[in-house]
Amino acid sequence: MVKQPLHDSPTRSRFQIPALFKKAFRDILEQLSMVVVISMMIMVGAGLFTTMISTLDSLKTTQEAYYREYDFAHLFASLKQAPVSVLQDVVEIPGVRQAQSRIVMGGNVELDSYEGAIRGLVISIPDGGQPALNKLYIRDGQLPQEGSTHEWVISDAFAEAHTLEPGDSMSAILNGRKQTMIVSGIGLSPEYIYQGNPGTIVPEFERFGIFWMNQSAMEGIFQMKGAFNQLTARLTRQADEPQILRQIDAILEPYGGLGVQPRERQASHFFITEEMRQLERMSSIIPVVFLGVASFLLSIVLNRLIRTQRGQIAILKAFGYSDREIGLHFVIMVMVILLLGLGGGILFGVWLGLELSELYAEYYRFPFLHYRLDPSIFLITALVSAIAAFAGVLRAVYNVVSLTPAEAMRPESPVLYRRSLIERMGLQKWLDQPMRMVVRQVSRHRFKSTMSVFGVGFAIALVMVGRMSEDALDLALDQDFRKSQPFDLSIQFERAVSPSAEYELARIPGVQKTEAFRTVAVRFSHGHRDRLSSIQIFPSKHSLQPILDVTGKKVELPIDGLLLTESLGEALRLHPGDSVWVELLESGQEPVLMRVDGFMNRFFGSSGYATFESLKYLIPNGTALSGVVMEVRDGEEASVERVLKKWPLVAGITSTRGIIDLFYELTAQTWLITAFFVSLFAGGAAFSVVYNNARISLSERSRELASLRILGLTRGEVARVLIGEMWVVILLAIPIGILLGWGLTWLIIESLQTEMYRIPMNISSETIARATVTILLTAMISGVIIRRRIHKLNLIEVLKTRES
Amino acid sequence: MSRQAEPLFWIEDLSKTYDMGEISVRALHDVNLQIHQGELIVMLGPSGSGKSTLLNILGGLDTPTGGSIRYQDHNLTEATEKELTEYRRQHVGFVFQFYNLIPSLTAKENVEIVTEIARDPISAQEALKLVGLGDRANHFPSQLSGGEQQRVAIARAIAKRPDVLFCDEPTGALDSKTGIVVLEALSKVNQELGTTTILITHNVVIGQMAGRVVYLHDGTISEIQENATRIPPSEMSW
Ligand SMILES: Nc1ncnc2c1ncn2[C@@H]1O[C@H](COP(=O)(O)OP(=O)(O)OP(=O)(O)O)[C@@H](O)[C@H]1O
Ligand SMILES: [Mg+2]
Repeated sequence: MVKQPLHDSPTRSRFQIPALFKKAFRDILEQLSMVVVISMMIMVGAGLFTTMISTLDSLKTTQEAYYREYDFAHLFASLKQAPVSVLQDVVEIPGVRQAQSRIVMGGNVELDSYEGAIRGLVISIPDGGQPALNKLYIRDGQLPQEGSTHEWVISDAFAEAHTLEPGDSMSAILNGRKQTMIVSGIGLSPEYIYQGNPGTIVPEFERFGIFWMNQSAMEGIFQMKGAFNQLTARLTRQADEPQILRQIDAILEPYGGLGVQPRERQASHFFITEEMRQLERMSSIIPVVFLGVASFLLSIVLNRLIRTQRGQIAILKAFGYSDREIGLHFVIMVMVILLLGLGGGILFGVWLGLELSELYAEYYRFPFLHYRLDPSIFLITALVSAIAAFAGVLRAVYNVVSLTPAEAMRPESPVLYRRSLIERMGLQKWLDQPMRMVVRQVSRHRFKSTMSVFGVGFAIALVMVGRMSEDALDLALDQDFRKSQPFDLSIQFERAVSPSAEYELARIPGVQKTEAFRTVAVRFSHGHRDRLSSIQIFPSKHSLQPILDVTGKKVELPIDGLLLTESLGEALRLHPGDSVWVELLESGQEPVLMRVDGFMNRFFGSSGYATFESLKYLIPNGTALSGVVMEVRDGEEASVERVLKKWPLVAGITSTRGIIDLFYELTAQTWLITAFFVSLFAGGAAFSVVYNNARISLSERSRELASLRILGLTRGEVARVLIGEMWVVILLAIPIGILLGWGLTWLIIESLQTEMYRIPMNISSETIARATVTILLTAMISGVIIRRRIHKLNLIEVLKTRES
Repeated sequence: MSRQAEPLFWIEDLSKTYDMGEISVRALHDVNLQIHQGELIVMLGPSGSGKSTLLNILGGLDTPTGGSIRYQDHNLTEATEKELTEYRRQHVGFVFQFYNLIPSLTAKENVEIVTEIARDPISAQEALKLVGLGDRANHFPSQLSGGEQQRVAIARAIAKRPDVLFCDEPTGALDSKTGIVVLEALSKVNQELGTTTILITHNVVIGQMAGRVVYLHDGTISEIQENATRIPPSEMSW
């Protein structure tokens, strides 16, 4: 018989959302809390990735442009003093394109509006013009007039800190003489993008400034007519740098050469390079953590969704939907989540990138900022996020495809329950019926339970990672400052002075105890490796400057040997007992071989440590002091500092507490914000795992639970079955999460180690407590919500239909 | 209906064995049957006799382990999963005991999920009207009674004008009154659209609406009974 068309075929030209898409979108809405959390995770991961890459890009481009336009030097050499004619010898070295000589001196500055001691670095520039190298960017005002002796350009960070403008004046103590200086302009130099005050770990813009004045003026003040004490040079592209370094070293040797530093070791450049390297490494780890968690959660959600939708999938297959179409509709769900996260993430990332770049521009002094947002960043971000998202769901989608339609028609065959391990151990008499159900449920669905445990575990790990830097810095500051520098004030002298200075300082009212130190510039070499560094010299009996070994234990300085910071030892590939060549740069003597007795722990900076006794005869003025540290009676620090400011030879005063406070002040807010967001995300992740677990259990097992109710169990008892299951997951997840957190922290910290400072691996009990509490709170909230849902369980409705 | 014409299904020595490690279950063996265009066949038999297994194989949901089965010029015995999908998509409609509607889609959307991929469907609205649910199109499954859900499932199965309709205990979960409404809908489709229909039931009475009743026992056909007259469901009762 011929088919008669009974009715008109529907017109198919009109655009309509396919029903399968509608299903996908409604399924997404059904899982909203989880979807939001996963999208957020992707958002944070993608956002951080965009942020870091764009910030890195911006920093790099800005730095390169700045270096190029302002002729940043390749080599930096310091020496005692040499006649300007020596410069010609350097210029004639093949490969040297340009060289500039200058005078660089320390000085003290006084401002009427500021109490504290201000240290200045005074640098000469050619009269009435820009130097050939390391040119200044004049933000405001102008260079000093030709021949002017009372004008200078001040660094912009210092100007900002004291709101100084061109035309303002201040007192300066230069070479022991006080004179009034007028601000001619405010400037920046590619040499001082990072402006660390020597001896501190954070730039103290209030207490440290850079001042550029006329060459002729400085020659006069410092009695260096026709002489210089620093030299910078630019090389040609093909220059043989190590060879030129040696040649310049040789030329400057007779003039008290202190060694030539290549650009790689120039403080500002080194610092920024390290920072960028860290940023680069971080950009490949931190976003991956978030994307990894997102991927993991996504796989949990999708696997469960597919499991609960076996029937629906079978129907679709029975009606002729192909594996590809069905798989695709799950993929659409993933795409929606991915796009939500990516869209938000890129916006968030661009915003944060701008903010962060500005923060960097503030911290580092760039005259301009080339914010760069290469469109390829979006592509890479999208790709990375997509890989993460789809890696998580591959298995789930594979499960759909491998489901044969007839198999799917049957409900998941009743699973084989066994008496659990606990019961086999004979512990069941301690468990009541609901608890027994919990134990069997958890041990029966081992894969599902494991996934949940790890899901929650990752949330715990996330909280821990969020507090990683805080913990690390706590420990580092504690070791390097509170424990290794238990003094209150450290005074650095203009130049090495006679030991009697210590006794004079000790007489200042309020000073309780003093201890001297000396710092000498050295070059360590071992094999083909060498490092320009310094040796800190302490009295053999020293209590205000204790030395801690790598385990944090106090150790004695060897009488005739040397201790090195661990980072320096590693950089030189030294082992305790090895000998190292030490070239005392100030003396101009041949290097001497010294025994390395061991390594000590310093997180910030790297240098060698020795006693006065062991070096007395090796260094010029063997007993002279570079500075004195002191213990001051409580509350008298300010008055002591006031007296010290007036001392002619004092070049710098640093307060241990001041540094620590400043550090926390600078970082506290960032940490607070980080901690807040990380806890929020971790809590969200934990909640969605825990809550969805229970929610899905509830729908999967509603018949079973309703039957229990009909058999006479109370709501509370039924709730215990589900909530008990949740708690088992939570309790298992806590130790696993802590381990995961430990592992992740270790991984990140290992990848961030630098030669300049090391990051300790430290997980405080507070961190563990916070992570645990975050999860317990989340569990409690989920518990309340689950209980409410169980109360609403409609017995008749549940039993009326088969769960599908 | 012409019995002389080439049968729609040609089943020869069909067998199906489920291998489960140590034990194997012989769900079907020595099944021989021909089904013709436009027939309404009712399959009866005790639980476990292999009715669902046979239906699943006929519907391309499963493949036999022995013998052969042909649908027109399609050899279902050796069909790949892709070919089976195509076969289901083009020719077959299913109605199950547990309506198996997609809970997140409305009645109309549940039908559309099939019409969207069919070659020559009737509109979802029309299909729902055919089973008397034209006014419930926008209701979700949870807002419908069991009988109504089953009728949506029938609408869904017939909307693409399948050549064959397979129903596995479509009234199993319904009371007799609702069951009769559902059977009416099936009978109407069979007669008006000429859809070949194969229906599994435990209810002997329902056999009266069929042209032939196939009895299964222990995995094989024990008897085929031809009805001289077909009684419309509205005149049946149980
Ligand atoms: N996936 C499977 N694995 C193992 N054995 C199976 C499987 N599916 C069905 N069987 C077995 O095959 C035989 C026939 O099952 P089938 O489902 O076809 O019976 P039925 O006649 O439809 O029964 P009922 O009326 O109870 O639905 C039964 O013994 C059953 O246990
Ligand atoms: Mg059956």
